[in-house]
Amino acid sequence: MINLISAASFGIGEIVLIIACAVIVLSAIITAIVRKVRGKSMCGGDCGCCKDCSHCKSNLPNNENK
Amino acid sequence: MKHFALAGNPNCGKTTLFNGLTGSTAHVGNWPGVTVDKRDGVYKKCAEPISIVDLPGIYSLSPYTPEEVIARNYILDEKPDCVINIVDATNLERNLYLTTQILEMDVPVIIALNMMDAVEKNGDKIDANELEKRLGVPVVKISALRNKGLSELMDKAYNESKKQRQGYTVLEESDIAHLIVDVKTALSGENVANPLFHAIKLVEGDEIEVSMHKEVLGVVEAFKKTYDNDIFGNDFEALVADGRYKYISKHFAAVFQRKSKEKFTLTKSDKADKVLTHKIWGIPIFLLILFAIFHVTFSEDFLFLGSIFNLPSLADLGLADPITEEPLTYGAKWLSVVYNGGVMSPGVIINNIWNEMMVGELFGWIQGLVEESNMSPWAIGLLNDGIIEGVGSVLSFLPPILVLFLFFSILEDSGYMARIAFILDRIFRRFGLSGRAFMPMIMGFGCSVPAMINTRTLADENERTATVRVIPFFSCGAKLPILTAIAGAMVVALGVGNADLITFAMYVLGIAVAILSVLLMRSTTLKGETPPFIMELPSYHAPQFKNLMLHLWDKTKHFIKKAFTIILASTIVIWLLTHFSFSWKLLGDEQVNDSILANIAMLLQPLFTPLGFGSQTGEYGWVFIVAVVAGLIAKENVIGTFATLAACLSAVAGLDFGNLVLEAADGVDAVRAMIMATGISAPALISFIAFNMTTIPCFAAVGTAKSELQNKKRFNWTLLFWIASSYIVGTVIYTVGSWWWTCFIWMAVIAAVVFAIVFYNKRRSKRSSNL
Repeated sequence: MINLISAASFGIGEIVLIIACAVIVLSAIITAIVRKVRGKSMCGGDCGCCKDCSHCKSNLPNNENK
Repeated sequence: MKHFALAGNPNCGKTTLFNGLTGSTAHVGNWPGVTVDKRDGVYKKCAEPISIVDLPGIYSLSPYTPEEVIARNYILDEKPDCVINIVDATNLERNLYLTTQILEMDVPVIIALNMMDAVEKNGDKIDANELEKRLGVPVVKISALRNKGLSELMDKAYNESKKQRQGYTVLEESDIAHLIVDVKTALSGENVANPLFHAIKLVEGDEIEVSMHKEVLGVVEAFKKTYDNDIFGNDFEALVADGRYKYISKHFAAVFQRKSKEKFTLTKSDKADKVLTHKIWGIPIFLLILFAIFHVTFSEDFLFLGSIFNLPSLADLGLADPITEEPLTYGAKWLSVVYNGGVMSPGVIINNIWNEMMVGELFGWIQGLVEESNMSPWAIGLLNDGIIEGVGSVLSFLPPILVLFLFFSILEDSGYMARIAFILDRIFRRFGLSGRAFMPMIMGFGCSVPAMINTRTLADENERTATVRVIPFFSCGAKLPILTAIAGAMVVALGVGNADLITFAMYVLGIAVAILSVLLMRSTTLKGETPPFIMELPSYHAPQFKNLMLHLWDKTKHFIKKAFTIILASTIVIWLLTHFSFSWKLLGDEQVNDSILANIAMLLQPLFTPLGFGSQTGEYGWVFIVAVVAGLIAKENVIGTFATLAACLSAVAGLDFGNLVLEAADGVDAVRAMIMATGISAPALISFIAFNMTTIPCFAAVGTAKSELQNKKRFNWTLLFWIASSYIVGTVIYTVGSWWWTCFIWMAVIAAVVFAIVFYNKRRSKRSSNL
């Protein structure tokens, strides 16, 4: 970490960039975990049919389904 | 809120009606089994909102297939306020069989006579009023495709839902009518809901009914002992079916007035099928159609005009640099979009406009702004090389993905894909593969996830497992950037073949490997009976333009969303791991070989030597390993990884990229850079494509496979299968491509394996016959 801090230079642009990248990566990870816990498909809707995807719905908690 | 259910035969237009009523974009495939589970939406144009459930298509309410069980259980257990029975008006008699069963339930029913546009076009007539009188329930003429009659249908259904209805049966005239009455009385005495329906099912010997009402079964058994029919003996299921059809023929034939007096006339679909499902020409025609699709999407020499007439390139005409082939003027740049020694195919023209004139320009401009900013070199590198190159290279493949998706949607919606399953069933049935298994496989061309879900329609568990395992071999849309970029780079950098031919060949390879794998599994570990394949071939019809465009829009939205989420996150992580050493020292682009990612990948690199992209690719060959691993998150990441790392490698001293100018967001150029940096050969590149096509699919597909297989042991074997098959396929391609004589060694190995399987199966069947 000391090497990182000393080697890199940090202006406002760099700090914004680091924060943005951290937010993006962490959001992607957290979203994937939350979707998995909620029983949703991880496909990311690649088929273009996720609105009515039975895979997502069949794994939803019962009260949400009803 | 009221709840209505849509029930009917497969391909009668339920999902089209559902989409029309709810405004949904639920997928309408023109073959049975697209809907494997119910889906719901809301209709808002009545006095109150109405929840509509689209049930899977079924021919009867007997529990032979999962769809029948789902539909039947929904109507019995969820007790919808009204069942809208959609009847295909062009096929009245067959559709009314299900109607006679639905009418036996104590639930309000309304008949939607669909496809009236087709009936009118044929010049035929249906007397809906007479049908209504004879059925005893309202009948409404509709055309779900043309959105006609829908409001009238829903208004009448809403009115019916307020009434109580008692079921009745058409079997009152049959020999077993009094038995049905006796059983019904017994069930009513036990306060069973829908006693008439359950009574008839019990008389038929329905498995579910028998297990639920054992106490009343004695009445049926006693009667069976005294009854004998000349034709059916005491097969009451056949008797009931016969009774229904006799009633339908007697009472409803007059309702339908055919224009042509001939009972059987060849429709346009029949005439087309004579050619398209020909027992000899069917498969060649399919391959030709598939090739035509790839040619229109990827070819840079459309209709091979350039080759035939030896047309000059832009460089020959003095409009482009002879070394870099870059257009010299803005006008030449526009010309290069449509022509460069050959006429570009429509797909390539769209791709060129998107990349050269839109994405490339936009991203190049952004990269220029970043370069001119006062940010640190590492920040500029992360933004330009990591994020913009990585995401941009993936976005650059949006047009071919959409064009290919459009063509496959047209094939599916027109009804042609159902014919493919039929043709393949005829050939592969003798090897243990039924056509029903091919339908989910073909869906894999879009995405493996819904394709694996669609395997629920397969009743045999072994067949289902085998199908789930090979679905990823049918290249999904996400793998298209890999195919396109590497094929394009091979043509430019190595002067090998045509991009469309290479892409087509890879798709065919995937299909061939899938078929061989299933045959192998069905002969060894996943043996079983080949279930019968009966499918109603839907009529050909032109796909609805609106539906196609809605699906394209959905696909576009999700692709862009994926690019700016998963792929963006992946490129950031890859850039970080290639710019930091294990001691967290920030590295320059030229020090990429000292990075965390490079060191880990170098450890794995020797494993891929038999496939051609291992140790022989030199000190920078680890990029291929990183790309493969990144592809597990999303297959588009393979090219995104190349793009991110190409920019790093371009800064490495001693690496000669020749006349290659790395343009912003160009996946093909990124692969070209990899080829130049590593010296990878053409066979190794093909092996790389094949490996990515057949290896473990993306995490989403893996998760779906796990939930669909529901057996941990089978899932683990599935993972092993994917790794083994991709390794073997890659090795075969690389070794045969590099040293042609190795094909004889492989043929000997294959022959030995086949012999071992045949010998083992013979011994096993001998042992079981001895027992």
